[in-house]
Formats: sequence, C-alpha cells, structure tokens
Amino acid sequence: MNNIEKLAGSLKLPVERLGQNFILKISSEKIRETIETIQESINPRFIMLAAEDFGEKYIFHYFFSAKSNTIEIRTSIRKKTNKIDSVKDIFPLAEFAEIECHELYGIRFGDNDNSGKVVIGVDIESPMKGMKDRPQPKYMDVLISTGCTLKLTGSVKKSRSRIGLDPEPAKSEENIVGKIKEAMEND
Amino acid sequence: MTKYALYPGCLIPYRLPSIEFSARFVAEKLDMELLDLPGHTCCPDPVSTPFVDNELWMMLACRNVSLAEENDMEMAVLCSGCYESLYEAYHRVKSDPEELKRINDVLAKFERNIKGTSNVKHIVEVLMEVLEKNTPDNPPLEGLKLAVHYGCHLYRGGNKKDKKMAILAKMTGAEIIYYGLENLCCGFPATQVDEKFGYTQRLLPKVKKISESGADLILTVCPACTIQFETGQMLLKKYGEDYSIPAIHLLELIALWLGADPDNMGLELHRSKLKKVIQDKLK
Repeated sequence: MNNIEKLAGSLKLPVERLGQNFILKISSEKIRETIETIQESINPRFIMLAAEDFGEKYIFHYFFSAKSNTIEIRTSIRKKTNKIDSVKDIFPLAEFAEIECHELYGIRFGDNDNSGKVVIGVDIESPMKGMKDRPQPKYMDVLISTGCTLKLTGSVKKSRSRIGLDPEPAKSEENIVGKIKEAMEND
Repeated sequence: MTKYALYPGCLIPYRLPSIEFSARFVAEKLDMELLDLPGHTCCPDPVSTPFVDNELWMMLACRNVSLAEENDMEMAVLCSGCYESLYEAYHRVKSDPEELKRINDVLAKFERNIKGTSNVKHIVEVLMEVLEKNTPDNPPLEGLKLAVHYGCHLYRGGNKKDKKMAILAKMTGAEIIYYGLENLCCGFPATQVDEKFGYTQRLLPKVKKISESGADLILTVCPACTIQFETGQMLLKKYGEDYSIPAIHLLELIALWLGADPDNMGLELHRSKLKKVIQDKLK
C-alpha cells in the first residue's frame, strides 16, 4: 500500500487505482477538508481542475501529481446548488481554474467575486453555460419514452400477426417521461 | 415452471420480431414462462442518454425494473444495450442506500417503489441456467458454421456471459469458426455519429475476417449488432466493399434447434438472405 492508499484509508475514502493513477470520490462538502489533508500529508503539485456538465449536475475533477503518481479528487454538485467551496487559498494555482469553470458554466466558488472576465472575451456569452439546460430536441423524448424512434410499419404489424405475436408491442403509459421530469423537478 | 419478466427492448419488437417470436417459442419448449410487462418504457439507451440526462436515465431504468419487482420476478432482457442500462441502474440503487431513497422519493409519486430484491439477467444467463439443468436431445444443427460476435455490452457486469454465449451456440450442434476479431465492436454506436468510421473502421475489418473464415452466419445476441451487420454490409457497397453474410440472433438459432419452422418465424424481416441460408444449410 502506498502513501495515497494509506491517506485514503485514514480519510475513510474508497480509492480506485488505475496503474499510477488514483481516484478518490468524495461528497462536495468535504472538498476543502480532503484537499487540505492531501496538501499537509503528501504536498502534491496541483495540476488542474476541470468541471464537466453532466446534465443534472456538474462533476469536478481536481488533478494532482505526487512523485510518479497522479491523484484525482472527484466530486459533484447538483446544478440547482451551483456552488462549491473554493480551494484557492490551499493551492493558489486553483484560482485560475476556478475562474475558468465560473466563466464557462457560471459555477460559484465560495464567496469569490468573479464578476470580471479572464478566460473568455469580455463581450461574449459563455459558450458552455446552460448548454444542457436548453430544451431537448423532441426526438430525445421519443428516444427515451416510447422506446425508439422507429415507426411501427404496416408490414411489421402484419408480420407480427402472421407469426402469432400481438400486432403492436406492449404500450407505455402516455407521456411518462414528462411526468417523471415534473416529479423530479418538484422533488 | 420458471417465470421471468420479459424485457424485449424496442428494436426487437419493431424491427426484428423474429427474435421476440424465438424467445417465446424457446420459453415454451423449455418450460419457462415469460411475463409481459405492460407500461414499460425504453430502457433508456445506455450510450447517449446518460450523458444527456443522467438522472432521468436512472429514474426510467429503475421504474422499468420496479415493474418486474412488483411481480416478484427476475428480468429476462433480450437486448444487450437494454441489459446494460437496466443492470447498471439497478446495481447502483442496490449498492447505495442514499441513491435508492432518492429514486424512491420520485417513484412514490407514481405509487411505485424499488426495493433491490430482484435481478436483471441477460437472456444468455437465463438460457444457460435452464439449459445446463436440462439439455434437450433435439437433433443437432449440423453443417452450420457460425462466426460469433459477442458485442460490447455483454461484457459489462461480468459473469462470463461471452463464454456462455459460445457454449449455448455449441449445444445446438452448429460449428463455431474462429476468425480472430470476435471481441471487436460492430461499430453501431460510432455509426450514429460518424457513418464512414463506423462502417469502414469497425464493421469492415470484422466482415472481411468472417468472410475469409468461411462462416455461413454471424451469431449475435444484440439486435443493434444484428442490424449493424445486415444493414451495414448493404451500405458498405458505397465504399466499394461487397459482403453479404447474414446475422442470426442466438435465440433464433436455439429456436431452430428446438424445432421452429424457418418459414414461420419472421426471418424475412432480416435485411439479409438469412432465411435462404438457413433453408439451404438445414435441408
């Protein structure tokens, strides 16, 4: 067991190892505590912070290197929350990456005031912010509600009947996707 | 009689009903009951949907499994893509009580809930369980040479389903031909994004090797792979490549072994000469 695995054990965090790479998944409330502990015990080099738009949530990847290992701290926040603690006082280099995430997605890091623009031009809207909040094309609803984008053609219906199957497959409840989306939003 | 909740997916009932016919035929012959699940939705698709809306993907998949749980049954899934979505979503809620609670909070609004008490099984696993205990002594399908295509989704979730697929195929008496690219993806997902790449960089190397091997048919367990092989070989003609090896789903193969009539199982809906090859080879 190396230092990173020992550290993960002391923090009671599951660790995934892929060769020389280690991934520690944490809840977003523990981001500062975890990164402070890593800094004190291993003192790694901060490489990068990347945010990823994952539909309902943002996933954050904090990358560090320590000797020949890379460490990724992975966490997420729900889009409704849209805020995570800043770690720029622990690793000053994180500030630039936090600004980038803020400008691309509108995520707030602690109480930092990032009202100006650093990474993208002052006169353009973020190319990423809210990208996945836009209404989905209708075909997505079809894709995930009725089961497919296919039309049940007359010849398929005939063939189904001829081989003893019901002409039309079992039907779904009407607009189940819309109903589930509504229930998720009210949750 | 062993009972399972049947999850046919979308491509099988809509595009390849001969596979649904075969599932029901095989179940009857092997004394299994496949219960339909009215109200089920799309799985949803395991490749693109989670990236568009992961929460909705989880919720719909779990709702589908809850229909099987309600009937105290395990799920028998005919499509490898559906299997991946349903298995993975169900595995997540089974192993994470917080996730389970979160999903149930939403499902409760539809007077449904999910407990984590059932299992999602690929039809290969189901058939293996049944046929291992009781192998029929039907005449072997002699003279039929098959090139096995496992398909990517079959590997997920472990349990050596790829090996089981080959074992089941051998039970029918058909000959398995080695061609060296058994594990390569058919290119179906890539084709949706980049048709040329999907057909020429994934499908073509496979069908070339399969053609050289002398196989009569390509054996699949996934309707998307089946469609990719059959439609893809037609569309490869525009890239100057001429191949026409039919694909057959494992369920269709087993149905034929158990006595299904190739004239009356809907094989003509395949976009290939599957029916003719079967009739010629199994005279």
